[in-house]
Amino acid sequence: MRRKVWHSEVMQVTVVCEISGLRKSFRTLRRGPVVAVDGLDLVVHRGEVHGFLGPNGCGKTTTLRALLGLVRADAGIMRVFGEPLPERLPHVVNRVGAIVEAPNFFGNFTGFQTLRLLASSVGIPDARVHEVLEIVGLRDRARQNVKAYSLGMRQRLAVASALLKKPELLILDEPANGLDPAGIREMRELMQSLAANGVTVLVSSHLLGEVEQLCDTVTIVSRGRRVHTGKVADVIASQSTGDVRVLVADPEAALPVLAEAGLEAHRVNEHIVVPRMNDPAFVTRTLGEKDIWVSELVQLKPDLETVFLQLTGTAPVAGRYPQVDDSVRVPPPPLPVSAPVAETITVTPESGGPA
Amino acid sequence: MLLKVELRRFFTRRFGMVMSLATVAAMAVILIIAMANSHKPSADEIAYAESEAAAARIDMAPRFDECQRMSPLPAVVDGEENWLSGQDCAQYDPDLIDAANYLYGSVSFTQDVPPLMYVFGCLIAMAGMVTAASFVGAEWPTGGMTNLLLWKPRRMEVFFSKLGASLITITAGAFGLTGVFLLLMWVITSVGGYVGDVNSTWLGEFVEQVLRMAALPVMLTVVGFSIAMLGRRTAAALGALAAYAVVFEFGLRIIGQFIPGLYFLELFTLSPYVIGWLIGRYEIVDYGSSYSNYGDYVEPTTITIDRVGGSIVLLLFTLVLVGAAAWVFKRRDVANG
Repeated sequence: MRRKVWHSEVMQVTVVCEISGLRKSFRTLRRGPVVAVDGLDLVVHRGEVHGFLGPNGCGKTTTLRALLGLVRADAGIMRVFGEPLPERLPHVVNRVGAIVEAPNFFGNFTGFQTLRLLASSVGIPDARVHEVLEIVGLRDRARQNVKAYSLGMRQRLAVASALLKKPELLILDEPANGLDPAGIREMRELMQSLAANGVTVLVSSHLLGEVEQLCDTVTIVSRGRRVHTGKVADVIASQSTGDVRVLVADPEAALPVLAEAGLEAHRVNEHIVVPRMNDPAFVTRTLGEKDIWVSELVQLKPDLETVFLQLTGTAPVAGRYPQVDDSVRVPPPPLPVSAPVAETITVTPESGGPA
Repeated sequence: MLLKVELRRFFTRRFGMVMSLATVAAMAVILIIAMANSHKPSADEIAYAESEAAAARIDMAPRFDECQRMSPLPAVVDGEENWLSGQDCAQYDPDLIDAANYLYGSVSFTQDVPPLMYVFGCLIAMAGMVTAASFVGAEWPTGGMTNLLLWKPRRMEVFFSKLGASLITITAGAFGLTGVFLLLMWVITSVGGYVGDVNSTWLGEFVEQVLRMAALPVMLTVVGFSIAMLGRRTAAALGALAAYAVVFEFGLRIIGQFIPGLYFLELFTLSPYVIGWLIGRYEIVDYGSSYSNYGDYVEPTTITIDRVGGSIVLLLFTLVLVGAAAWVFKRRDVANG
């Protein structure tokens, strides 16, 4: 009992955001109910930068909207800082900064007015507004109407609004959308510095190179369900085939040697690729014994983009135009197993039952 | 705190300012027309008007007394019809007979401002409706509502803060503009017309009229706000207004007047209740029933809407609409702008 209480306390401290079995469908007149999120699970620990990845229409934004109280979930459990949502959202909302989807603002307000109105609704002083405008690089454009902002500038303003509250949890939906290369880099550095200062970041993005550099952990979703989750390195490693690429002076001489050693090697341009090779040193030794010297040996690892495309089944196929709903459908989690109801049979000597 | 922020948001928006300027422009047109059609009456004109008014007061006194005596009684007294039953006796009040009634070609404050107030009040009410609709309608497509809900997830707090801000600013603006209008009319009638007898009876009647008129901007503010909140667009309120005017105020009224037996359809329009509230009495008459099968005139079937009935219907209509808007807003998925 005592151990259980301790465990629960530890969970509350380390798990900042937890979603379990989240379901949400929207009713449409033409297509009937459309399932956006179908039993999604997500866990984000304190201080992590967690990537929330998935193809278009897989339910990422709906999940974030449900978490932030903008849409009502049909089923599932959501907790932020250990508080159940949406019931306790008003109690934790001041610890959460968020931007969701497209950065829309009232065009006739200036950037400063936009932030000031939000800030004053919870008593944040104007000084903090100036501070965040400086952080996102909009200091000199603060008095300009938002309608004159570019998409990237509106995105920066959205991030500034999320930072106003000095949040402990930052939820960012496509924060790099519309940003120039310098802006993308600034955004990455900003998130890294926030994470270094203990802010937990949940970020949804399609820039998988950025996610790979930035995130500690990821959750990949497809058609409203979780496909994979874990540390970025582990997720990539889980999809690694162990292929090894070898460069030698005479590949034609090396191929029969490797075949003789029982390896299925094949030539790719000037290289030799040895698939599913768990011990690369074996390749070096085998070739070396026949005086064939290896000048380059690389263990081929997929990047996050490749892993994402594999896991979600959205890799382009020649001659085919994949549709947004063509991604992988993960089977539903097994239903809780219940013991079959025992049937009571009364055996009497007359019924002729087993002796 | 949120109400204060919403008030600031209201004043920061330009649309409120544009609508105020449009109302001022319309007010200026009314005043210019009044000035152009008025002259300062001569001493002879005033003397003639005052003598006519004095004679009218003497004539009207017994009618006023009779009205006060008979209006509380039922429609039939001792087998005879009491045509004064339920009448508003103010129309016979000798104190309300003013020399201004007998001045021609002069705009007078006491005689011309009360009817003008109806025009001006309706103008302000329309401006209030459009401004309130825009205040909330513009928030949806521009993402302002989503941003606000990310900060303030208690939706009812958001709803009533926005509604409160709309009501406070529009009501204050309505009274402010009315004050300016009355002041300018006073100046115009003092300089180029006739002020008239501003006695306590006239003043009491006029203040009551202004307060009744004040209910219109308040009501239409709530209506415009609620429809825009339901439709998530300013255009929703404007479209609803246009559709209502065409289908109900024109369509139903025409059907009610031309198709026998359907006179009651006018009950489904709002204007009878507004007139009932403002003037004190509105009658929906079935003129088709005013002649018997033998061609004899008979009293037509009449539905009377008085001040109480009018106010109850208007209040219920407004409350149902605002209640529906609040309920939908509380439950709505904010999925798209």
